[in-house]
This record gives sequence, structure tokens and C-alpha cells, in this order.
Amino acid sequence: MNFYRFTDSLATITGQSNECPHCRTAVRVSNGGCLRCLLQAGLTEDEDPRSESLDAFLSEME
Amino acid sequence: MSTVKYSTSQLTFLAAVLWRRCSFRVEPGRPSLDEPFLADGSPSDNERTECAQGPAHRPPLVLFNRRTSLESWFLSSTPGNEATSRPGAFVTTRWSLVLSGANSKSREKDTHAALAELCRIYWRPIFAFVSRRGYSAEDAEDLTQDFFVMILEGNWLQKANPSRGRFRSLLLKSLQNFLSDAADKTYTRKRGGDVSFVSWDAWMAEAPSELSMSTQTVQSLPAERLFDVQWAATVVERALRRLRDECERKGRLRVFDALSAYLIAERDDVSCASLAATLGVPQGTVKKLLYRMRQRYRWLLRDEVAQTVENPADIEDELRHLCGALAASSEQAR
Repeated sequence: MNFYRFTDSLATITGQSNECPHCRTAVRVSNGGCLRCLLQAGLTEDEDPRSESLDAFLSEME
Repeated sequence: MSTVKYSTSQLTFLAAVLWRRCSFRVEPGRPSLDEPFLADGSPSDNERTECAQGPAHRPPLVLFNRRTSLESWFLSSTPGNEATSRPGAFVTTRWSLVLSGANSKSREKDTHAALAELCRIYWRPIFAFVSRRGYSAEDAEDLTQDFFVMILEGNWLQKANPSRGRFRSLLLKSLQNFLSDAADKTYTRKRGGDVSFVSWDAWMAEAPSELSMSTQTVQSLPAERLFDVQWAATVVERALRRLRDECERKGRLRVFDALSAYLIAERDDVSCASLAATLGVPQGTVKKLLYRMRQRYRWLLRDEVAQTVENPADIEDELRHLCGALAASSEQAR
């Protein structure tokens, strides 16, 4: 398989595996986070979705 | 057990009170009064819209009652911003908009726009799948382009009989059929010959992928699994990008840069003292920021998934499917 175009547009192919210590998968995204753990985070529902938003909190920061 | 009896005039009065409760005027900036419509306690339409778009995008004044509130929300909504991930809430997502308008001539334009937007977002899984099937990069580009032309210019939805899968699974099935047909015809299209839909350079420049995989992982994955991994990456990267944009709009890009790596970190792995020094804020502020960033990231992630399913109740299943695909991919790579 020719990885040239694949590497350019789809993913960075690394020589060695960068396994996540928590879930043991080895696919990482832009911030260096583990893709599976970042997805898994979506399965946790917030207890209080009406609490003060990030947006408001960022505005209040000095 | 005692029974309370009401006279006709009392019942009339109660009915009038109830009617007034369900028919009111919503004004921007005031707390929404439509909780009776959202029995699960999910945020009101106003709150959801404001949360996603900011105060500058408050909805217009609407005089509504129980029936028209839902209609006006549905008809005036812009897919991609308001969907909530809370089951039971009333939402319009891109995919539900596509499905609901599939056989409606009057909504053809909106349906087409929503479908085109979904294709624009999820081109990478398609291209990865085609590439993994052994086509050269050039042929994979052409085939991906032809596939999108078929989807957008033909009557794909009617032929695909989408009753009614998720966008991801329907797209994958259609792609498998498309490639099977292409193989039968011995794919020999000349580059640049037919209709052009995809602007590769523009797409790549708009949202460069920063997904990182080992050679071993890529080589071990069958095309279907690679499709799911790329799909999962697209969902997560879009949620992260939206979170980054929100911080940047508030002039707090530094906050995102410092904390985004800790969105999924264990408590013991976060050094609040160090982050506080980096950001120049008290440790308590770091804790609050991280809590709210995680909360917001989860909301954005679920919103991205919501755009590709018909029913918000499917969000959990879709996330579990993608997590499962990633787990299986690591097993195959070993």
C-alpha cells in the first residue's frame, strides 16, 4: 500500500506505538490525548448541565 | 382518600390559568419559562441556543404556545449548533434534517445543504476506506469524489432506503456497494474528466488532521475498522476545535493550550500549582476552569455525534460503537 497520500491527509504515521496507559490503544489526536479516552469522556453525562458555563467563566477571568 | 370537587366556574378558572402558563412571550435575556415542555430537566431552547452560539445569537422574540413552540424551533433551527445531547430533548440535527426532508420537494434545498455539510465533515473516513482497499492515492481521490457526487447529485437517500440508520453506517454500506460496482466496471476514469465536487486542498487546509497512528496499527486494520477510527477522530477533533475556538473568541487561547491536554487526565496527574503558575491564576481557578472545560468538551462531543444520528437517544450507542472499534483496532495491532 502506498502511504504517501494517506500520511499527508489522514494521519501521521509513527514508527513506534504510543500506547495509552489507561485503555492501551495507540491512536492519538492533536492535543496528544488518547482518542479512545477522549471518546469515552462523552459517555459521562454531566450532573448539572445548568451550572455556570465555561463561556461566562472565561469572561469573568481577569 | 378524599376527593376534591370543583364547580364549573372553578374548572374554567383553572383551565385559564393553565392556558396562560403554556402560552407566553419569551424575551431575550430573561429566563425561559418553557420547562413544562422539557420534562427531563434538559436546558430550554433558549439556553441551548445561547450556550452554543453565545449571547449575540439569541433567538428572536416568539409568541408561542405548546404546539407552535416546537414548530418554530424545528423550522427556524440551524443544524449543528443547537442540538443537545440530553435524551428526550427536542432537537434538529443535520442527519434528522436530511432524513425528514428526503421525500419533501419543498425542503430539498435545506436537505441538500445539510447532507453536503455532513459529507464535507466526514470525507476523511471515506477516503481512508477507499485508500485501504488498495487504490492508488489518485484513484482514491477520484473515487471519493465520484462517491460524493453520487450521494449529492443522485437520489441516494431514496435508493438507500434509510429506514433509518445512522449516517455513519448508511454511508459505509453505500460506499461498500459503490466500490463493488466500481470494481465490476474496472475503474478507469481519467482524472479531471467528470463533475468535480471535492476541493482536496481546501478541505485539507481547512481542517488538517493531526491524528497519529503507528505503522503497525495502520497496516493491521481492515478498511471497515479504519473507517470507524477515522470517523471517531473526526468527531473528537471537531469537538476539540470548537472548544479551542470558544476559548479564542474570549481571548483565552492560552487557557485552552494549557489545559486541553488534561481533559481526560486523572486527578493525580494534574499539577494545579504548575498550571496556575503557567496561567498566572490561583489554583482554585485552574480547578474550576478544568471542570468547566471538561463539561463543555463533553457537551460539544455529544453534539457532534448528535448531528449524525436521527434520535438523540442513539448518541450513547454511537459513542460505544466507536469506542469498541478503537478497542478492537488495538487488539488487531498486537
